[in-house]
Amino acid sequence: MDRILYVEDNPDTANAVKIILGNVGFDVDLALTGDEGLKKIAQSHYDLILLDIMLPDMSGWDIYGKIKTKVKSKYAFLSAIPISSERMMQLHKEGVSDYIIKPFVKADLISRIQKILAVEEIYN
Amino acid sequence: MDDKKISSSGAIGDMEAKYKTPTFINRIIDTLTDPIFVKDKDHKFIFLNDAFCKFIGHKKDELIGKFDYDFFPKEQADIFWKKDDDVFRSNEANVNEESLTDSKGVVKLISTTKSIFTDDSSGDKILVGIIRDITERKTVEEALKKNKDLETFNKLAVDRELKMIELKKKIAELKNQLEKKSDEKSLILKNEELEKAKLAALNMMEDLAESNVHLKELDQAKTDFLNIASHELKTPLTAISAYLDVLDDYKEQFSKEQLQGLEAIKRNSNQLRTLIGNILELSRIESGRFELSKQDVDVEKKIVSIIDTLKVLIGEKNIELKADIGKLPVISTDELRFEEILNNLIGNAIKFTDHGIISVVATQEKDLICIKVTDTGIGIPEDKIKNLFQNFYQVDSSLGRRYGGTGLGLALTKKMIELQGGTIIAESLPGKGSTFKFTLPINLIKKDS
Repeated sequence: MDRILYVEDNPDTANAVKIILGNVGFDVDLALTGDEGLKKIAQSHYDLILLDIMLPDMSGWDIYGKIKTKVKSKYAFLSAIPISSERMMQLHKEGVSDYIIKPFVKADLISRIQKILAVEEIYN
Repeated sequence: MDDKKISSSGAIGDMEAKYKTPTFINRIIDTLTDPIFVKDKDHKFIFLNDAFCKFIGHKKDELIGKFDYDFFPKEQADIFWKKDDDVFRSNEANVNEESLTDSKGVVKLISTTKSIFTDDSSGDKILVGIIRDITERKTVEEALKKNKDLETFNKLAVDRELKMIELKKKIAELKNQLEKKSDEKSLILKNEELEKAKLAALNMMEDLAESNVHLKELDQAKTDFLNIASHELKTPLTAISAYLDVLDDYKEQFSKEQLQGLEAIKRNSNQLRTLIGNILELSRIESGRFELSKQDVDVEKKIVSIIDTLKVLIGEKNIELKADIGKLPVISTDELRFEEILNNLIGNAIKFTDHGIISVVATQEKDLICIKVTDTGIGIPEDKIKNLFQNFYQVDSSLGRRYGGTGLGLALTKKMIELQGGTIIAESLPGKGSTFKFTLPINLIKKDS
């Protein structure tokens, strides 16, 4: 079963996503702060790390920057802040799997997560 | 040091004898909490108070007879030397603000006042300095400034309006005077008045230019506010919509009432979402903080895909939704906004039509693309058409309750079309139907295959 870590400071959104993705077979861990997220990442392996951008103690970008070269995992962002398509392409080039806009549509979220985790990746 | 008694007559003389002694005066200076230092013409420390020693972090006997170079980094000491020189040469006091690291390693902002006197016996110039710690005052000033910024924004905007009105009045007055006939004597007087008015006008223009710069800076604060507001509003919305999705999975177990409740919450939260999105988008457009992006769009594919998505809104109504698209080039436009325009117009057509046909026709006319959305719906009365595209305008507010909608969609649609250099018009016959026609420039990049 694929393991996902979702770092999100709104506990309602975090729990709802845990239930939604749990219902389709993913094992979801939650972290409500950037620090908590980093701790959990250090303690266990996740197949996908899903990051909110605006966290109380740091930004999702900070977390991504800190761990992307050290931790083997797929990365995606879930945020209410829209980005340009140019930025999206740049992120893809860097190895980010997706950038999902909030509020999301359940079916859309599920299919995107499934797509990310279905892709076989050769880890360097 | 010897106690020198200064003699004077009577009670004042007794007080001076007691309090004008060097020992007593030294106590006063050492009690002051502001650091005080005295340098001779060679920039050597010749007198210091306790506060100065505490500030530097050295004992008095370690400091007397030494120079700035013995305690500060060279660059810092160079600056002090030059500032001292300025005072020695000009004989005038000066005040400097600078940042300094104190003995505890904390960076402080200080204000140093240096003044000068000439020693009677040697004739040498003596420099006296006093240091004020203004770190806290500066942080408070800056915090107050930030707080005042948004208040000032509005105040400045109003001030500017008033100044413009005043300026216009003055110009009108001047014009009036020039037009009146007059004899030579009053001409001279009028000349003086003209000169005064000219000066006043110039001053006002100067003020306006200044406030203009300020307004631009404060406009940035407004944008930052919009971005923060946007994110804050979307946060609870996301949680609501996410949990609605969760409840969706339990629908089979719900009673009829619970299902109705769920649908009602969904409907209203979607409406909220659209409304917030529209308001924020409109604010951005109106404050000029709106950026268009450019993508290549296949118009036929786009219209077909949007019609496909919106078909579900027809529900059980007997409506035929069709597209008639001629040979079109791929256009260069803001894709997201193009979708929003079509969603709004076709969505409206579906909303306000009970039965019949809705057609979307797209053609090319020279360097423009023309799209027409026609429906056989309830139509719009002639006297209401001219206000159709205003913010929050609804033809009939009861329609708002019955059909849903906030009255922002068309205002936004119009703005988005016009920002790209296009036009939109509406035609309608109440009871028969409506047609919305809009154009967009093609900005062709690709050739049609």
